[in-house]
Amino acid sequence: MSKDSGSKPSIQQIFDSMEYGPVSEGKSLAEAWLLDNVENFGPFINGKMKSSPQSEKTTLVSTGVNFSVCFMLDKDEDYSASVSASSNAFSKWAELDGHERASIIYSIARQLQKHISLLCEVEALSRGVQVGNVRELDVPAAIRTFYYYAGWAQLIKTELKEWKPHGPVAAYTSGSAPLSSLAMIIAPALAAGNTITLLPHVSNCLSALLLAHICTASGVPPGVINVVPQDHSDEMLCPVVHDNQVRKVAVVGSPCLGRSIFSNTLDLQQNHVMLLNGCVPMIVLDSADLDAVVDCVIDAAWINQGQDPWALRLLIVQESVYSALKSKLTARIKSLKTGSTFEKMADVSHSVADSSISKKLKEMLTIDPSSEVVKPSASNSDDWAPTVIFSSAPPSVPVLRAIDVCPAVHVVAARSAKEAVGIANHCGGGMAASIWTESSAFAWESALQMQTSTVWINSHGLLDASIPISGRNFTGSGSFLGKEGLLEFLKPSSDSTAYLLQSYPSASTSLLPLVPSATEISAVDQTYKLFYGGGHKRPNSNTYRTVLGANGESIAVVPEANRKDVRNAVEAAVKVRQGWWKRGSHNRAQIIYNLAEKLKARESHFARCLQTLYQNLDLKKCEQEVNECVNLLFHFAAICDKAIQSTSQVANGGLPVVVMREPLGVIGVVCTATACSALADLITLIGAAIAYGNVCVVVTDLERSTPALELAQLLEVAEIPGGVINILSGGAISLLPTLGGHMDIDAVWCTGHLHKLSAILKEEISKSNLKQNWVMERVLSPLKHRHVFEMKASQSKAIWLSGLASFGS
Amino acid sequence: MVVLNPGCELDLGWLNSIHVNTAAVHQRAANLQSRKAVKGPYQAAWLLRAVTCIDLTTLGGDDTDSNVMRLCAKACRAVSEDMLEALGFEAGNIQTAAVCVYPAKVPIAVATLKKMKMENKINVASVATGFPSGQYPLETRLAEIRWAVEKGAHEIDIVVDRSLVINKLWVDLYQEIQKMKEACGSAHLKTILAVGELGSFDNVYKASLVAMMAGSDFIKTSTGKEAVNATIPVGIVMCRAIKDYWTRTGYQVGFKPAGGIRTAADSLAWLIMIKEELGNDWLNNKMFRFGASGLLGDIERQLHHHITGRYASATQFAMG
Repeated sequence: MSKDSGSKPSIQQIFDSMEYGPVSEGKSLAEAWLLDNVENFGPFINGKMKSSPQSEKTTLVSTGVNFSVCFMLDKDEDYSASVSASSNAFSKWAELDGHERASIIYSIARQLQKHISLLCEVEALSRGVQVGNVRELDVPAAIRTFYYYAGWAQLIKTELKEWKPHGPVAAYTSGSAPLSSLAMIIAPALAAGNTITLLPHVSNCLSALLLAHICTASGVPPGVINVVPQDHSDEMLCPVVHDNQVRKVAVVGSPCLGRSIFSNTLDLQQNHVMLLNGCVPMIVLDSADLDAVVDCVIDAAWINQGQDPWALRLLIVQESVYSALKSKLTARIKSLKTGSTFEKMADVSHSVADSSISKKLKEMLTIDPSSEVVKPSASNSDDWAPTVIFSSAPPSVPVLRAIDVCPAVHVVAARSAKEAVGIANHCGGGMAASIWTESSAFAWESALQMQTSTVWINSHGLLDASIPISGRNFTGSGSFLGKEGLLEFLKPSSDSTAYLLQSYPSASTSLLPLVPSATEISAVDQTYKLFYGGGHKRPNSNTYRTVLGANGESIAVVPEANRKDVRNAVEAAVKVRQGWWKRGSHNRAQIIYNLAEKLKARESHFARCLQTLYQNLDLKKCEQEVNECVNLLFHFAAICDKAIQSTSQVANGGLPVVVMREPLGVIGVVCTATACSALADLITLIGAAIAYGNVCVVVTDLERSTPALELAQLLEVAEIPGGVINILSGGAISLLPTLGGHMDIDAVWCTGHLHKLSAILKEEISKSNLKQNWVMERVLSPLKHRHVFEMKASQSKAIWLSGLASFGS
Repeated sequence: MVVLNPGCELDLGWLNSIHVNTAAVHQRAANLQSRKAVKGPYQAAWLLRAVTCIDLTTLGGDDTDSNVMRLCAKACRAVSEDMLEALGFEAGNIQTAAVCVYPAKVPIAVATLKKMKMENKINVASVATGFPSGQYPLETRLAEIRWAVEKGAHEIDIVVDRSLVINKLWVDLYQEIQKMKEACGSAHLKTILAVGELGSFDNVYKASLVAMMAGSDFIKTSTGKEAVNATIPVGIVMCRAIKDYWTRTGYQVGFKPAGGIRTAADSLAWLIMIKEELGNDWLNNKMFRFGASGLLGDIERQLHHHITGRYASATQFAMG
């Protein structure tokens, strides 16, 4: 009705035109809430907002209402106040009985339900997205998440006895992060007994403040939740990251934010859980319902204005239906209506809270002028508008730096399902993907081949509190939601080690730098070689080192690997990565049993080898360690087909979801000379890696490498497929950066000196793929910590099947 | 000017390319309902438009001349004159599109409308071809059409033989409907698919296409006698088939949901769906009809509420 906006049309005119009229959503509750608090806005610490002097305030203009909120960002003071508040509150909160915490979290869910309208309005104007979207998705998701984790708080003391909370948690959310992402941090963190400092972007802090307020009103003690809005674009990162009181850091949102926080947290006690925006693809095969695809694309790409981390970015269409889909999609995009936050009839909101979004879109459109760009025909070109780009190739992903993705959809063609999956796996994503086809065979095959933690079949963007979602590769690490999301905020309460020698002789061996004298070599030369790709290989450097015992006698002569040997070993591992997983769990178990059998047969040989290494240790003790290794291998063989966190279930709303565990891929295992049990540690880490379907590249420090090099010879006999286990001896510390920075390595596990290893690793990881890292002073016992090993050695994949629809009637 | 659908060759390749995702269709229906709304004067105008799209229907075993006559009278004065005036409409401008009756009641309906001088404004539609089951010999089914047309029916609502759809005998279905089209002559052919008995949305979509290829002027959801009648999801499927056919052949085919549409809110939901799926070209009684008997009464109540701000009782309005 834009033509006669001055005068209202008569009923007869509307009868003739059959146009929609304007329908506005209510915003009075949000306005009243803003007005009530206008004087108080500021950081929320110890249960109340701390207002700051009017003169020095930063202005935050809310979209959708003519209202501005001002407050001052005083980083240092507020952060330290907030962190010390959450440290002080921690012990009391953590000690609460599970039921008491459950009651409080349950109250939060109840309170949220009572204030749905207010929450929707505040969230919508905080982010500039439409109220309808928030009411349909974010707010129900947040409420469901609190209910779900209230349940875990109740069960935690009985079902997760051997776990304890980390302590104070810091959580960063960028300007585009939805309310539901706050819930998926706060709810599990509270359920587990942690305290939280939320650090939302200042442009999007209103809903965080409201949420904290509601939590406090529901009985969360002061200090347990604190909110300190901040401007993440500020060069000086907040001091909380360096604060060693903070034990866990959660990040949701922009990849730039995630990376900068990661690289600035060099404190080793902290670990990260991150979900970062990345390219999310949708594959459309020729057996898809194209009309349904068009509907889904609109929602997948632009609900919440495309700001969700799982918003669609790349549409890969089978060539045979490309033009049909293109015309349908073009027609729909052109007819989309954009409008303000509170305009119900607008399909997508055009008010952008985060001004960088429209800037990014403009940049993107100038990059590839050959593409065909489609926008809503009614949209004002100055506004942000939903944009589809039909281009010949997916947008080029910057390889050297993280960029925030732009909320536009690229459409490209693929010849087959296989090629489409290939394109999807090369687009720089890792969190989620969707596939449209009415053929279940294609759907399953594609879902299994997709390298993402979530695959939606014939849908997109569905989430449920009980189903984990995680970022892989560049889109994060760790899991959100589900039981996995809870365990992120817990750690094992005891650290029983894999196998601990009672009297461990420290630093018994050393290295001789140069060529040994002739007398030190045994009668028949025993030449160890590096072992990778199933073969014994001379070191690239052509250098061998002599290992000396405590009394200066020669124990062994071992090859010294350099970074090129690491490269070759990783290449060998990558080749068999798929094959090892595809063998299936039964076959992997058989192979590991076989290794145990062969090790047992050479028990005395390995015991003597250990005795030589440990020097003054009783042979019996060494035999014990070998026997323990046989036990460990039996354990790993046993668990191959017994994943704990693998379920098929019906998520909220009656949707069947299959959650399975997938291997990480290539795991770098580093055993330094300070490691505890030379063989048992090695067997534990290798066993865990391969049992869960990973392949590994092991680097052991030269001084402690003989058991590993002996094991290498056993691998051939035990018929472990070449490339699955690769063993190198070399300077562990000097090779660690090569492993940490290698983009084909998906996780690095180290045992040895905590601080030194972590510092090297984080430096490398922050610049490469966000690979999982697991640094341990002592290797945990896999028998007692099966959960931990499963989480570290495998990752979840959730496959969402399309919903039930009573066969259409 | 609307071009009548002449039909086209049966295209089995086209049928084989059809895939309908049931869950997604239901999601679309739910989204349309929650995201779109028509309020205030817009609602009043849309409801009046809905009235003009009604095929006011009586299809009872106990139909007699008297209730058919009353139905015709109601069709002529669908909304009371004072309410029309209050809404800014000229009296006598709002009628239902047609009355819909059994073949045997065509003569009385035609005569009544003629008496009321409404024969050019309100069509008489007759069901035929062994309504509602279609389980009769083709010969007698075709004879029903010819008889009704001869007695003055302008539109024939035929039922398809569901067994042909269930067994995917598309060629036979196509040929049967073609013969029915021929029997209709100049009368409009409205093909009832009885979607509640077709088993899947794929079948609904394909049967819709075959009906259009065979020359149907309208496709219609249900007889009103099946367990499941007109639902918005099935309407979406049929509208998508109509759009598909229109895109490929250039012929506009009409759509008629029937059965279970009882409230003003239902009618608005259907109009919104039509607007979103097919566009404004379909928002008139040349292209869209409601098969309904009770709907009109509820629309009158809502219009009354719009005008007065007070809720109305059904007994205030003339019985159809």
